[in-house]
Amino acid sequence: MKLFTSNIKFTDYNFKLIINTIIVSIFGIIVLGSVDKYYLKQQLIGVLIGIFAMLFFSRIDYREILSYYRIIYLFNTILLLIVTFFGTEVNDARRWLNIGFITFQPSELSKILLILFFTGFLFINKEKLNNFKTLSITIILAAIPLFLILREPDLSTTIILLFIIYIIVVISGLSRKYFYISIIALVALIAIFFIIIKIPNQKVIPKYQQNRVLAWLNPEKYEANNSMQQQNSIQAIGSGQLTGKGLYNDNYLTYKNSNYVPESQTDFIFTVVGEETGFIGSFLVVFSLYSIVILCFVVGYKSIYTRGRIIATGIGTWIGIQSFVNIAVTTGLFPNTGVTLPFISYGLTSVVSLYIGIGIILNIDIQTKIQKRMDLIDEKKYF
Amino acid sequence: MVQNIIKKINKIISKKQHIAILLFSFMFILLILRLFNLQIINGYTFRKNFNLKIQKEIKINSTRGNIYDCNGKLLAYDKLSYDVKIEDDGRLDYLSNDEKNNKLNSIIFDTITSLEKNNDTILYTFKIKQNSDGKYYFDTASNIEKNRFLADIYGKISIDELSDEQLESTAEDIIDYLSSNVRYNIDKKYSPSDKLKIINTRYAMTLNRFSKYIDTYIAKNISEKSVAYISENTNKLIGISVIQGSMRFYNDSKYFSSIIGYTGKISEGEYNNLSKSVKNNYSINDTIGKAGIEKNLDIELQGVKGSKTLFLDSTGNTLKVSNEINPSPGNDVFLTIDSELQMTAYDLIERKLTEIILPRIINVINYDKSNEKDTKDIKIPIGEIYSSFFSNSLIDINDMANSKDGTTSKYIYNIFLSYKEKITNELINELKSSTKNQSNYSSEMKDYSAYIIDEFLVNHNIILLDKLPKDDNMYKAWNNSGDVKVSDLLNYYIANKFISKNFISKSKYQETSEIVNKICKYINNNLEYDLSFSRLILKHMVYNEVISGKQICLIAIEQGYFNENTDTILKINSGERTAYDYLYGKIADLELTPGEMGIEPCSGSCIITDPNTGKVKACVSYPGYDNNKLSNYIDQKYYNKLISHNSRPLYNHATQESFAPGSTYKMVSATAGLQTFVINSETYHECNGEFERISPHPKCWIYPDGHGYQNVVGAITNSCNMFFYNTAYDFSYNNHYDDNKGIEILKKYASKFGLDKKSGIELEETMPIISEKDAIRSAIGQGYNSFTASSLSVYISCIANKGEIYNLSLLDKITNSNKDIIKSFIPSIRNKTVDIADSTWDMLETGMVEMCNAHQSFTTNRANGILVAGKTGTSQQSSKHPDNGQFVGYLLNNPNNLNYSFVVRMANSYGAVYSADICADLCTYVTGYITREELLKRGILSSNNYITGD
Repeated sequence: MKLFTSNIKFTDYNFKLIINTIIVSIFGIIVLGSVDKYYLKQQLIGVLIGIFAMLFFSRIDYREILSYYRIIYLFNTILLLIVTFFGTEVNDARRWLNIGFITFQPSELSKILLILFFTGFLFINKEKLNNFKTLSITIILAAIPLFLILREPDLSTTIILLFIIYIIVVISGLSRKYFYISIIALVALIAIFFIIIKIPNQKVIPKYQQNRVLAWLNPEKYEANNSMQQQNSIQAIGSGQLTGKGLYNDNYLTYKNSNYVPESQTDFIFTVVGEETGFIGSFLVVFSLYSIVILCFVVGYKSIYTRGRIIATGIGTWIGIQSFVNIAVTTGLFPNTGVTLPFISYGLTSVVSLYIGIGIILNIDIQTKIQKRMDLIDEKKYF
Repeated sequence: MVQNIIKKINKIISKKQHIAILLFSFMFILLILRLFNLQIINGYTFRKNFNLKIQKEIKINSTRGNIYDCNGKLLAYDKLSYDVKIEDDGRLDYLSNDEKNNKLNSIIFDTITSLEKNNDTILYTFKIKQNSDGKYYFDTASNIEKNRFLADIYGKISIDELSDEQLESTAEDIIDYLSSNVRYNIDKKYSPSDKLKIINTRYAMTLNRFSKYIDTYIAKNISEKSVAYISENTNKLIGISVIQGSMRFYNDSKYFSSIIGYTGKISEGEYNNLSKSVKNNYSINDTIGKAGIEKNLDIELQGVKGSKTLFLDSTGNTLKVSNEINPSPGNDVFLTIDSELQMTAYDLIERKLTEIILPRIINVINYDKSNEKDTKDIKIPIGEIYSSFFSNSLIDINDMANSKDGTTSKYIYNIFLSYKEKITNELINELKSSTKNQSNYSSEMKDYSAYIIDEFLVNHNIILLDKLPKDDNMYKAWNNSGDVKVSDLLNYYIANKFISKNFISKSKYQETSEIVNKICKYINNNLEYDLSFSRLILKHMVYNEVISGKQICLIAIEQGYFNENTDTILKINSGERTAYDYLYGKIADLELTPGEMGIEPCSGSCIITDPNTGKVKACVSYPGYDNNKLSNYIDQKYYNKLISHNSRPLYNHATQESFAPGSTYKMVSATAGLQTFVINSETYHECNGEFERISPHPKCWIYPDGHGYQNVVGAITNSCNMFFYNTAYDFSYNNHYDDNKGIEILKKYASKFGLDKKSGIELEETMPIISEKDAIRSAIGQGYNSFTASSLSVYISCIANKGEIYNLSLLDKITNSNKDIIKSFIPSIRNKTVDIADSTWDMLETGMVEMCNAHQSFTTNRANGILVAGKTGTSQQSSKHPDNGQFVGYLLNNPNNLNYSFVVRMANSYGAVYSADICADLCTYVTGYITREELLKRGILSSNNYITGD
């Protein structure tokens, strides 16, 4: 196999996915500009780099990438270790690397890297997947980067990664026995978590995490500090009504202009979407993100290679779960966790990582189409 | 069945792609539904609430209107001030509790330090202070006040909820508690005095924390330098802001305070009691009139508030201001008062009281008034003046406690402490088991035991007075004769459960002695902070000559009550100048005024009215007070002194003090006699000093002499009681003597002179009382008659204008801030008495003119050709007090046709002569024969000029 895929026809590109992604990105840029013109410029650069990366990865055979899975894992672990020791501290969290002209967030990149790694690793070991030993190794391999990310601290990224890895393991062919065990373990874990949360002076979960969850459960009681941001976000989105208060407005009667929602360019960008573009804009964003997720799944569904199916499902899950959690937080369905909204939230690493993911999806799709065109294999055989 | 389900589940799970798509479809539908709920279903509510949250309507206070006298002299006005406010607006909430406390403390400290550097005064309301040794102490007037303060500190609703340990907290404990991280977390780096200042502000914030709209002020009326400092450091001083306010000021305050009153912050009760129509214009932070004209004309003076809408961001910074409406200033009120006349009358009363007091002072500590047969002979022992320094707070006991070592104050305070301990022990032993009946105690012990039982235990809710039946024999015996042992009384109360439950434990078999011990322990603990008890002890220490006059003078000088040079201090100290001489001099120099001393006589009043309009030209209540110290923010120490002062400065002696009119009432009786035809101008009654037609025999004031034969004019001139006894007897006669008939006739004619209703003056006024019994004595103004000076003013004005009853009024006009007249107050006539014969009016006037002609007080007026009609009146209060004196009169023919009626009254002023003197001086003054300066230059007469008469 060659690293670069040749024989690509223009029609091999999945334009539904490309257009959807670019529409969401442009919408995101416009909304960020409404927060501050500075973000508009920065995000535009990020998206352009992302599109370039997407096109680049769309031409690279993903199967070739997977063969370097050991290097990918090593590279990811080293990056996370560098952050742990040399990262820049912002708001008590060490998540960023300052490499001169740019700040870079390795945990964002980890998402795509770990999807690739686990797909590769589990593909190699697919015969022994349901061995206790293989599963144990998988858990240890997952635990190392997750622990490093948790230490930053970045609980939400850890949970999202855990979820994505879990999905990959399941898709890769986890036996029913282990599947049921894992489900029961998950339910038990959630139950224990909520029991611990209710104990006032517990030592397991950091105080601020506990307060966020408690504030979500009883907003009235904790309003003064913990859930204020979330409560304001809910009210801001609600006050957008059908058509919103308009982008780029200088009306004093908006939460954004009166500084009620801090950090609105990152975790709470959807608040601005909801307030300024109303239900129509919010619906558009939710629907576009949903379309991207489903398109990813469909690419996987159609892929003739198991690896492609696993990667596509992993990336789709990544985009889907992060979108859902982010919007659920801003609308008060979930407790306040720091998760960005894919393609829209401000952040170079995040945008470029996502575009790499889309590039890989495109390549999976292209590979499928090339194979079909070559008419070498009976499609049905692979179902 | 179960297997089927598992099979089905397995089937779905086998197509994992489908599950993922389904799962995410479900999740995104959930999001859409949530958004639909928020934005479409509840969107309107969210937007409306948000608009409310972000827009803040601010009221802009208006300037309060001014008050002027009838000549446009400014009496009360507002001055712009800059006030410093602190609020915890949530901007520090992102910090942890300890950090927030630290930050807040340093902000307060920074603000206070910079204010003090610029000589601005910090508002201090905290009830703990520091003495000169740096020790903390409770600055409370009584133990109840202290315990209430403790309850507030510990966040308890009532004192009962405090634990014993909390109740026994020392001032030091409280400071430690509040400095701990449980409360304000005040760093050790702050000095004890800085700590106290920070706590003062923090505590004020705590008290206001639940009432969102009440502001906490750090200082008012600050200097421009401080304004600049705070404005430049708004970023650093989070929560501190300078706001524009105003301060109320009063010119010549003591003369006008009884009319004008003062302003203060509206209380919750006052706010709730406002009528709906005016409530809109008030808010719970407002300053309103609390007394006098300030209170009664508050609506006019208040003005209309302006408003503006602020758009605020989440940190409270203003983004935009809109809808600005400027406030309109309050209206100005013009009084009918002639300020110079008012001040002159006030000064004349003060001087006359001094002249009454001076010759009666005797250099004796203990003196029994009841030994004097005639109240005219009651003397004023110097001991009473000494003790008034304590009882009327001329000397501050707390300041004594906190004075430096080596001072007389400290020396006496230490003696006081050991004396107090001795007394307390003695008292407690008596409470446990008495040696004798209360009636057999020394007068000192009587005072203490009465204080403990009747005031201390009742005020502390230990003896439950409301549970005690008033006809209880023990209670009656205690109150009437005192033939009860204190310990027996206490045991009796315990046995009958008239004692607070807190002192009775639940166990049934509790010994009474245990409860007594518990109560005694409580008394012992709490008397320490009881200012009233301390005053009582100090009084007896003076009378027991434990504290000498010299020491009192030295303490008064140490506390700055008198300013003296070292030479004088040395002279007092060496005894070269005795305390008696020294104080006599101070009284004669008006440095120690009768109003300050609070020893009878210490009060007086004067109302001067235009009888043809009812417009009041002067309405004096002596002593006045400094309303500058009560407005804006209350000087608590000063206020406490005023309310406990014997001369009752906050009480309007002209409109609220009511007592028998004495002989000034005789014009009513004369009219009643003439109009019912029991007498005419030619009716003569013989006066031999004693009226024998009823028993016991009422006497004429001239008894044992007599006036001989008198007709009505002569009887008014000489104030012959006998003539009026006979007249009253005659019109009460209905086959036999009928008291009711007499009373009805007197009432009818009193009403014709307007004595049945309040005068209508725009101040707090006491309802007049016309006697309902004893027509004979009522006819000479005794009986149960009781009138205020204002009522007498209506009465004498009615005589002056021969039958027209005008409502008294202090108000001339109201103008807006552009000086346009909004309202003019025209004289309001209440009634016109037409059925009194002209001859009757003439006879009354002739009698009154004759009386003034015969009176030595009016010599000067006579010489100037000024005709005055008037009547003296003396009324006896009791055999232990000097008689009340009063004079009513009016100007008759005078070159400029001036119309004035006068009422001058002084309680316990040894008869009416002195009041007549004041009236005579006022007549000379208003007719222009003497100026105010000349009057004041005359100096104090201290000759021994006892005059008898009525």
